[in-house]
Amino acid sequence: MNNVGYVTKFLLFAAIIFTSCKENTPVAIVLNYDCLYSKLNDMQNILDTAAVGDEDGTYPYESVIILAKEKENLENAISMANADRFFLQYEIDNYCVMADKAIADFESSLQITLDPGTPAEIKVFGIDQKGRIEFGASPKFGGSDAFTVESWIKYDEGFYESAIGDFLATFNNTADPYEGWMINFMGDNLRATLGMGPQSNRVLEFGSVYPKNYGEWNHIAMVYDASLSEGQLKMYLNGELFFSKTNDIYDESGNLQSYVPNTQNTNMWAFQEPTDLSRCMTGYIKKFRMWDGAKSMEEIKYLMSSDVSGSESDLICAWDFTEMPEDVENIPDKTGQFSAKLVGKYKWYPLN
Amino acid sequence: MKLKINVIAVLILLSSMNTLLAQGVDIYGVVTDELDMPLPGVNIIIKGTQTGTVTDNNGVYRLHIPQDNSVVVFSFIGMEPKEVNVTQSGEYNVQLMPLENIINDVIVIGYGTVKKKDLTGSMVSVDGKKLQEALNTDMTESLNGRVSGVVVTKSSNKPGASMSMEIRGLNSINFSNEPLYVINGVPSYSGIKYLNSADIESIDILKDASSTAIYGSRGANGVVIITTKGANNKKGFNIEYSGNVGVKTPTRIPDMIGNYGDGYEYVEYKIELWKNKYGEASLSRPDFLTPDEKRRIKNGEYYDWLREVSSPSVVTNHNIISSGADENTSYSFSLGYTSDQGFLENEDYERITANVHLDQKLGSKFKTGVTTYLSNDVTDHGADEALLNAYFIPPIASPYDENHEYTFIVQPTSSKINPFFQMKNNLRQTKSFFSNFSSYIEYQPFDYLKFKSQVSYQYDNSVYGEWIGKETQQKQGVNPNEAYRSEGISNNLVWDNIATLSKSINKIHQIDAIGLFSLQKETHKGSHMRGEDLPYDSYWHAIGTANDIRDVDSWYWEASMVSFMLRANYSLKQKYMLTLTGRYDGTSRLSEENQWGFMPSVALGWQISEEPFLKNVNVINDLKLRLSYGKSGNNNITHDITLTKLDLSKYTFGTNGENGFGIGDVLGNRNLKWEMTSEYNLGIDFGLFNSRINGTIDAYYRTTDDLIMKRSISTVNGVNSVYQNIGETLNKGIEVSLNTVNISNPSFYWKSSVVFSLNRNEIVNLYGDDKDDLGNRWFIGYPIRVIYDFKQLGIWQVEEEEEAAKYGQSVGHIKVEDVNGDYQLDEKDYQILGSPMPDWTMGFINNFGYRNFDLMIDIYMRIGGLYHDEFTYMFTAWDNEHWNKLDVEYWTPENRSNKYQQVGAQSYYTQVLSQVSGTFLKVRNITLGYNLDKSFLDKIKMNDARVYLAVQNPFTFTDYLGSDPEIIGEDVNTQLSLYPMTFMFGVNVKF
Repeated sequence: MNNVGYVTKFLLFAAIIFTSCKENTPVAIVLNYDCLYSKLNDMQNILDTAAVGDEDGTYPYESVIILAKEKENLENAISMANADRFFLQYEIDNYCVMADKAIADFESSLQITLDPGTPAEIKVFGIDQKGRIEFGASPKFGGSDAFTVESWIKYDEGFYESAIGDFLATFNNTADPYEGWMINFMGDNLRATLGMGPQSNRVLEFGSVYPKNYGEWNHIAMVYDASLSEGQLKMYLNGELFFSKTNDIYDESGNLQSYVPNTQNTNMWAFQEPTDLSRCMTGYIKKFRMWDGAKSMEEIKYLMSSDVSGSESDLICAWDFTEMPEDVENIPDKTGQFSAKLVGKYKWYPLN
Repeated sequence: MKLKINVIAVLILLSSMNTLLAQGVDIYGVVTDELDMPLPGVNIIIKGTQTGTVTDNNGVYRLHIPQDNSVVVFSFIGMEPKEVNVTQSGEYNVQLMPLENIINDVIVIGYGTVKKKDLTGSMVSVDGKKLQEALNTDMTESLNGRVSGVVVTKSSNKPGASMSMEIRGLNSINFSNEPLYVINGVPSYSGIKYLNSADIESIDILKDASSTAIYGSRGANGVVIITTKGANNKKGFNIEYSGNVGVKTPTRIPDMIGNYGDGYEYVEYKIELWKNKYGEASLSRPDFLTPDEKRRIKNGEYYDWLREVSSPSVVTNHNIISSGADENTSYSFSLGYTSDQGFLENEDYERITANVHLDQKLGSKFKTGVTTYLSNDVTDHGADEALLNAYFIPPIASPYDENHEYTFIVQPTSSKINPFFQMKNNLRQTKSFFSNFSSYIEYQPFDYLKFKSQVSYQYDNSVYGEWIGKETQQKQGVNPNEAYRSEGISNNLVWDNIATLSKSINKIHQIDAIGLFSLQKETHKGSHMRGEDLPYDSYWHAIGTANDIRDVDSWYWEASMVSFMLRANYSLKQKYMLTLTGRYDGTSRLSEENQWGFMPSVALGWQISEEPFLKNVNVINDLKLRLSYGKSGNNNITHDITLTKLDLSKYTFGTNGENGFGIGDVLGNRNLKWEMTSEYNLGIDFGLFNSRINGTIDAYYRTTDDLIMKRSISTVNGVNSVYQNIGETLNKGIEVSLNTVNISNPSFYWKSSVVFSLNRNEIVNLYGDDKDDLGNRWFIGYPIRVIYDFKQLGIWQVEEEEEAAKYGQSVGHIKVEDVNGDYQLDEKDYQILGSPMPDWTMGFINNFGYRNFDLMIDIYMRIGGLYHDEFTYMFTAWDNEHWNKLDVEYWTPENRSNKYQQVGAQSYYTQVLSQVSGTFLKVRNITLGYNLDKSFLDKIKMNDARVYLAVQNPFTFTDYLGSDPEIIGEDVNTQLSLYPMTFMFGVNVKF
């Protein structure tokens, strides 16, 4: 070997000695299978005791079949556990979570028949894209330089499982630039999101921690007013300012971006986003209205405790989901211009 | 003196007796100082051996040397060592000169030189040897910590990365703050990176306005004068080789979750992230873990992506310099080669340089000479985003498919593609050629008067090419390939005519004066084009074959300058000095009404140590006070800034596009003037204990007014703003340079050098209305660059849940300060948190010598400063479900971090995580050298030989989570790099 070779080897050796210092440590993982047996026991108890039939107050036979299949899956998981097929705890936990969902699904299938006009509230099972409300399509739903969306909402714990859970939306992230708006949940936050342009892939978005009063109604309102110098996007919760966000969306040249109303897909849905179907949630909706113009906090407080006739000049659309409709596929709005339909899994519960 | 003669006589006698008894030679003599006074305690050693002696109280020595033709080294604290060739026995009297008279004896001040003792301004000279010792490929970097007041910022640690320099802070808000570089007489704003440090004679940095006024309208940001090695007038033929080879390894690789093969750590993190972000049920989604990922986890097959994509690389330098001279001709010629490989594929920098210098005397009064410097550089920048993807991709993803071939998609649901594909298919390369020619003729009719005419020409061109193949991050394996090519060519022609007067009258009055008439013309041209969907992988060499050709453009502009300059320096009794400088510049960049400007300066010096009251103070051997004031301008402004321009627009009519022109949105202003800098400088030069401690302290106060700002006006015909001279900035600071000889004895020495810089920058005025510019984050009374944002107070803790809810926040989220207490966190709560400029910097270099060994330890630190760092933000704030992030203490109920939010928390205000401190301390270089024995060198007919081992960046102390705190804020998409630790072996030999 020549001298250069020796020198290079020496330098490489020095480099290795100087820079190597940490070793990989093998990880020992201990798995816990208890929940598998516990959930299996719960399922078996339900199947043993549930009243099955066609009448109100019983569970349909189809639901029993579905739950029995889920129980089989759980039994398979226990067999796999016995065969040491699991490696990570989350794989076991997944079966237990699935079991919980199967039990909840079964329980929600308890049969109740309501006559049209019966005072009731509606729960839409949006999780796993099972249900939604479609309000139809209209360029008006896309909003403008100033508009307000207000509604009552109720949800239980675990009301969304995807990255973003949409409550009300026209948002279209397949358009360039993004178009439309959405009231949505992400992480701990209740958020308002607006598509901005003309630059691609821009949104004006903000949120605040959503109320944790599970099972209780909250009134939420999203207000956009491009004419303001600050706080163009606001959200109100039960009549109080929830957050205020100034438009700070600039492109590389320093040009302020503007809200882009829907031009391509003008659908408006609840509990699922019209273009990104994975953004869904489960919950209740009561009164929902969209206004042309930015409502003030005082106006929103007033709207919380009042009804609309449908003839208000600035009203774009309004639905009251407060009683069993005649036709779940054709629920007229108060302005008489639009019609909503319930799609997939939902349930009306009578109001006592 | 009689005693001295007697002693010598005795020594002669003893010496002759001794000669009879032993072989070799005997020498004796007296060592004196610059005033001919005997120097006791002088170390005298036979070079290459440990044999030596010291002078006695009368400065007398005697020494027996076993071999003929030896070199004897005389050294003394505070004195420049001297080597004497001994060929035979006898008397060798030696005079040693104080260090301050030798080191930096002459400083290049532009169009001439000045003795350091006569300096009245603030200037620093860095010897080329010091630059070479630093072992940096781009010597600009070596100025950090070696020159006070200078901050060099690297864009990246990739080979060939660009650097920028600031001298005494930022002056201009809208235009360049880069100093003027004068390379062999050609002023320009670039070019230093093309030079090889082995070819540099010296770099002289002019800092205060009294010094930079000599460059008038281009001196406001300081002046860096680079002189390449010239003919050295050393008789005969000399040849010198210096070279090194090094291995670079990445150091301080950021700690990502699950690195070092501990991939299960990442699995735990991902479970936590998904549970917190999407709920527990989300873990049943098929994209949570793919079957392949589960298999790898089960088998413990993990990939440390940063270490997968990077590998040690080699850096090497080779330089050979030959020189020679006879009575009338002297010459030098050098060739240099540098290769610096990166850690990732297709990252490389290669430079070949040549330097030729020839001087010829034409009789006793004329002299002529030529200098040529050539540099050919190739920089392979590596792929965009390859390293970024390696950070993002988690350890449970594999770069290989089932056949152990690289796979393009490494995670089915992630947009981040395999960086190995990216490195192969995204190529970026810059090829540059730099040349600098100058020739002069000099006429010296009298000893005290010289005329010199010099023509210099600088040419550089640069071709940048980029290839984005289909299988890249940008094209995602779907979109067609793309090629881009741009080219730039610059020419710079300068004609300087200089008259130099140097006259001493009765050794009391000394007058030095320089007069200049200079013409300069520069031209710049370039073009670029982009093509998409090329039929072959022809890179950027066949854009014409692309289906879609766009971004085609070309440009040309020129500028010129005419200058008159006069500098006069008067010294009375070498105690009182006065320097007056005036430069009158005319530039084509401004309109006729304002294109001429006069920039004056005045400087005073008082050599206090020459005063009678200090003559007998032994502790102080040198003390000088300097005071200066001067004005200089910033000509580095857009060449057509005074004009209202027509913007080109493309209009579509039918199937054809038509060009249209319309007035741009900025109104030209013919009244614009240069941005002008005025500066006061107070300095002290000192030497203590026979210059065992010597140094310089400078304090400065610099204002830059008439800043060119774009002022909004009422919109008329589409014009909404106009440039005006309205802003003002201030820089003030202190600089200290200190050199000490801590220990010096015949076999061991320890010397230290400390360079300290402190600068405070502030905006004094913006638009003349005392209002801040919120949009640009410019605030009166604060530095030009600030971090204006929310201030992080910590993380909302469990016991603060109620308070957090008032802000719409949750426990585990980032807690920021509500400045106005209105429970609304908005822009009104933004604060000026700091400035991305260090509070102070310091270089601390220690040199040790023990017999034939020498050791250098180079330490550099920057203290303070708050920076915006995209890397830290991206890899601590982002919670993408498939990507990785930095392994830091994220908040959990059990482990209550007060810095980083809970994993998956969807916290707002995460931008505060990008605010990072700029404080660091680096041991930049440790070099251990060995000088070969003289006796051995004689055998192989060599004059000098030294070998050394060096390690660069062995230790770095910082809180920064990225790799190198010196490049905080690097562009993560195009510049992201790993931090090199380099182990080098080098040789210097002279024949």
